[in-house]
Amino acid sequence: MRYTLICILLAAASTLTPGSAIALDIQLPPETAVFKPSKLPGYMLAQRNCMICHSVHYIQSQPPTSTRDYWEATVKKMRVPFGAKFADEDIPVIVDYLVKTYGVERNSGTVALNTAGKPETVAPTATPEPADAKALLAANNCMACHSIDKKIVGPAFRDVVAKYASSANAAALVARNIRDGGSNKWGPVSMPAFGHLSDAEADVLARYVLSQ
Amino acid sequence: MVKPTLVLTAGALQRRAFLKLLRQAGTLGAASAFGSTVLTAFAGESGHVTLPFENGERDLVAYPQKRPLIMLTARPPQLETPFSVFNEGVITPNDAFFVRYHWSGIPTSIDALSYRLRIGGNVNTPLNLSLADLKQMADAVDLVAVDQCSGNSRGHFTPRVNGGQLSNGAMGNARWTGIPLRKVLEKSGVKAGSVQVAFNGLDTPSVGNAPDFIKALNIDHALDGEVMLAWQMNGADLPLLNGYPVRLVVPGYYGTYWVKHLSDITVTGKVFDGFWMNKAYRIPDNPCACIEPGKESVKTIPVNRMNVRSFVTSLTSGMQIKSGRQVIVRGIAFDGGYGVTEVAFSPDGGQNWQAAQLGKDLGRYSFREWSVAFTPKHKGSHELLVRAVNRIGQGQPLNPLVNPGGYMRNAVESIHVVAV
Repeated sequence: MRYTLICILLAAASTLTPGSAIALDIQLPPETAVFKPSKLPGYMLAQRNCMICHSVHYIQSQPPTSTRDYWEATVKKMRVPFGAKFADEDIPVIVDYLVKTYGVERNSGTVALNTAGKPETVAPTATPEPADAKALLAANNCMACHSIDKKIVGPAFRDVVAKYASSANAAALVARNIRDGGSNKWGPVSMPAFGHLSDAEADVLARYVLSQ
Repeated sequence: MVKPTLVLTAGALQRRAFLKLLRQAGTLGAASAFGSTVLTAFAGESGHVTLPFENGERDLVAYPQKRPLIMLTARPPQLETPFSVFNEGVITPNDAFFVRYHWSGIPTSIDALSYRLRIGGNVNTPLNLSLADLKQMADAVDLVAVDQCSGNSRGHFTPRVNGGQLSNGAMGNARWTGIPLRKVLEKSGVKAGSVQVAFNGLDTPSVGNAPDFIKALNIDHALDGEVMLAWQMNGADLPLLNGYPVRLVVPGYYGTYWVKHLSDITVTGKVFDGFWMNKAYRIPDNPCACIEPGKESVKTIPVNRMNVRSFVTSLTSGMQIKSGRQVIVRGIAFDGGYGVTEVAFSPDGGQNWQAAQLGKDLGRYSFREWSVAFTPKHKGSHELLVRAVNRIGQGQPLNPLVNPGGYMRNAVESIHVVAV
C-alpha cells in the first residue's frame, strides 16, 4: 500500500518535468559574519553602512596587505557609483577603521580591538537627546534597513509589532535586539549590534518601533 | 603557485553520506509537492578549508541545491568549487558548480510559468517569450563548455591583487542544453546597423541608483549560432544559483558574460556603455592583457576570450607517493575554444618535459582530460609542472602575467609531492 502510494507520487512527480507548475524557491543560509569590534569610530559607521548591501566577507577576505589607498578607493566606489549613502566626512573615518582592522595598518598600535565579542562603549558621532526617537533613528541610520510598513533589509516595524506586541516585556525584548543585534529571526541578514546605545536610548527606539 | 589544500573537518567528512541522502530527499520532496517548495540550505553543514594564501581561511557552506562549497561571500552568494571535485570527472556536477553574483538583490523564488524573456531594442518585432515559447522556437542543442570566472585564481598572485580572493575553483565544465541565441534574434528581426546586444537578468542592485549588472556582446558574436540560451546543465534544470530558469552561455568567454536568470535582451545601435562593460571587467588592450604592477594604465578593453590553462587533479601539494613506483598523473586542460592540442608534464620542476596523453574529446570548449605516467626516481620532494598548448599555438607563461583586475591568471601550475 505504502509502496503504491510512493509510485503514484513518483508518477505524478514525473509529469511535473522542467517547465511545469513548480515554482523554485530557495532559502539562503543565515549570514553570521560580523565586523571586528573596535574602539575606532569607523566601526559603527561600517556596521551601519556596509552591511546594508553586502556581507562582511567582502572586507575580511581581502589580503591583509591592502593599503589605505585601496580602502579609500573602495569606500569611495561604494558611494559612487554603487549608491551607498554615507556622508563625505564619514569616508576617512570608515577607511581608518578598515585599514587598521583588516588592512596593512592593522598592527599600527592605534587599534584597540575588543575581542570579547561585545564592543566597548564608543562615542557615537552624534549623540542625540535620548528622548528623541527620530533623531536616534537618523543618527543610527536605522531607516537604511527598515521602514514602517515594508521589509527592506530588515523587517518592517509593523512586522516587529506583530511579532512582539503580545509579549508582556515586548519593549525590553526589542531593546535587547537593538543593542545586541541578532540573526535568524527575520531572514538571512543579521542585525548588527548597536551596543553604543544607552539603556534609555534603546528603550526609546524599542517603544518607537512598537508604536507603529 | 601551490594547489589549494582542502581540509574537511572530521565532522564534515562524516556528514557527507548523510548530506547526500538529505539532498536526494530534498529533490524528491520538491518534485512531489504540487506547488511551491522552499529548498532550504542545510544550515550548520559546514567545514573549513584553508586556501594556500594568506587570509585564505574559508567556511564550507551548503547552499540550496548545492553540496558544501567554499564560501567567499555570503551576501550576495559567491561559492567556489573545492578543487578535489575536478578529479571526480571531466563534467562538474551541478551541486558543486561555482556561484558568483554581483548584487545582493538575487531572486530566491522563480515561477517557471510566469517567467518571461523580453527581446527588444533595435529589432523589427519585440518578443515576450515564456519558457515554453523558448523551448518550442528551435530544436534544442547540447554543448559542453567551461564557465570560468575572469578572476579565478586571483588569490594566488604575489604581490596580492585586490578583488575576490579566489583559489582555482571558480570554474566548471557542464553540458548545456538550450537553443542558439541566433534563433531568437532572427525571429525578432535585428535591424540593419545594430552594433551590440545587451543582456540583463533578474538580479538587481541592493540600492536603487547602483548600476544593474548588464553585459553586452558584439552583434556578430551574438549571431554566431554558438552563443546559447540554456535552461539545462548536465541534463537537469539549472540550479537557481546558476541562473534558473535560463542563462546565457557564451562558449569560450569568461563567465562574466554568462548572464543568469536572463530577463531582457536588448539589441543596441551603439556600443553599450554600462558600468559592467565600460568600467569593470577591463583588461589592458595588448596581446598579453598585462601591465607591470604600479605602471599607469594603458588603453583597456572588456575581458573576453579565455586563455589556456591546465591543472593536475589527481595529486595535490603535500601528498605522499611511493618512491620507485609508477603513478598515473591525471588532470584537465582547456582554453577559449580553439581546443587544447598538447599537454606537457614535467616531473622535475621544468628541466624535462614529456607529452601527456589526451583523453576523450568532448568538444573544443570543454575540459580535456590528460594523463601521464610518472615514476619518482628518488625519495623526497618532487615539483610537478603542467602546461598546455592550443590549436593556434597559445601556451601558458611560467610566471604569471598581471593586470590591475587580477583577471585571466593562467601561469603554469606547480605542485610539490613527496616520494617516500
